[in-house]
Amino acid sequence: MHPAKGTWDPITNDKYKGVNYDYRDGPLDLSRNPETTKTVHHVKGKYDISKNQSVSFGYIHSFAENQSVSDYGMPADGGSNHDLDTTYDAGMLNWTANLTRDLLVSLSGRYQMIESDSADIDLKGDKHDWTRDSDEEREVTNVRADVRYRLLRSLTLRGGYEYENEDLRNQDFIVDTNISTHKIKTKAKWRPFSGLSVTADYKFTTVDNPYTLEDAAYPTHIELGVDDAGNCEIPVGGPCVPGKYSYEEYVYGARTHNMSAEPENEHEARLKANWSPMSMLFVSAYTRYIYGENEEALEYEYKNDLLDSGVDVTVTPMDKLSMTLGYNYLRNHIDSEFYIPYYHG
Amino acid sequence: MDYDSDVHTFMVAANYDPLPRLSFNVGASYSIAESEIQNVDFASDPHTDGDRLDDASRWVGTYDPANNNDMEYFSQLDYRVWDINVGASYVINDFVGVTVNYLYTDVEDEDQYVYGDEDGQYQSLMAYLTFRF
Repeated sequence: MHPAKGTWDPITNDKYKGVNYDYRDGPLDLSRNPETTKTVHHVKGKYDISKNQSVSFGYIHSFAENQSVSDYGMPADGGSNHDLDTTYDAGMLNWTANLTRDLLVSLSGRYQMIESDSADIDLKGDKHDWTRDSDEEREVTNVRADVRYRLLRSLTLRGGYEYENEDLRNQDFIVDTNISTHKIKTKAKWRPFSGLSVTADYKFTTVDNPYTLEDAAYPTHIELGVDDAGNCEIPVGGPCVPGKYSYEEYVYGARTHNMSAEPENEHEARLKANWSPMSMLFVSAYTRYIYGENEEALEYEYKNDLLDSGVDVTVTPMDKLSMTLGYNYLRNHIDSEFYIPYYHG
Repeated sequence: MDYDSDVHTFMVAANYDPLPRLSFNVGASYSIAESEIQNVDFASDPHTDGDRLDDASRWVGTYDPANNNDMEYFSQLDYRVWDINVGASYVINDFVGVTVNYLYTDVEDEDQYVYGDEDGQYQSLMAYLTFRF
């Protein structure tokens, strides 16, 4: 039972005991999962154009049906008055070719579309009826190109570029519903001598219009014309008039700033080494560093940096016995502004 | 606001196959995980100090955002976690095999949070029967 799930007490008139309480129906259920049926059709194929070239393709069609709307919908409370179905369609195409003995090229594309029913809400009196469009609806287009080149017997290089466009159809509360992501990847694998291999890779991601909530944050104290102590910086003639602001206006005043907790630019670097100086000893060390930031038209910035490193040592003193010792360290630092209404929920 | 997390994990594991069909494994890991909010610093707001609330002087300043300045102490998470697993697997013949795994987890909450002391232990014993065909 949820701790805050109480009932209305007719004697004390305390109806605020329960958060999840409806005065007509009593306590409301928590974690309700609708009964759903889902059908998935998947076709895939591969065609070898020649010994060195091949094309593969795939198509997915999926249909999900929520069958509990009539039980839980309760149109009078803002639920839908008909079943809500979701259709997912995806098509993929890939071409891979060994252009020379040392050069492999691959091109891929993928298109996904989610279509979901809108909920029609009938409220008392037709003038309050409205249609709630589904947040799920979107189109995602993805293309990528990858190249692998063996420069030396001991050195292999890889490079790649990926573009993804996500068109969110009905999310009116975010600043831009068309999100484009570009990724550039490079990777080198080096085996200077038997027993040692080193892999280094770097990935850069840049997002045009990362998911950003519109008007989520309230003005800065500079815009309000107050200093750090809350006093008017320019007592006469400034934007802040002493005694003018009430608490509601100051704290709950119009929010005018956009906020995001997703990076606009992100760098990710990884380094991994495997070393086996003798047959009974294997050492693996790795480190990964991610740095992401978002400064896109935001008064309040977002930064994230993460370090993840470790070492594993495996000893095999005899055929039948192996032992591993490992250590891992993870450090994450996130810097983001946040806005919460301090009181009243 | 800054949010910092730090996790150290130490791990040791061993695998022993005394017979071609029989293998034992044992492993232990110990994690020290800490997380906290830092630099929460609200300025005191003079608009919250008077006016409407003057009549009940004990409420003066109740709504001052500076009251939030110690809230970072509620967010100091500090857990020590032991994970110990022991397992054995035996291949009876070419078609059938059995595996038994035991897992013991001990969580020590070193810094109690809103939900109280979250110390606890978890044990699981899993047995598998594998058919190959």
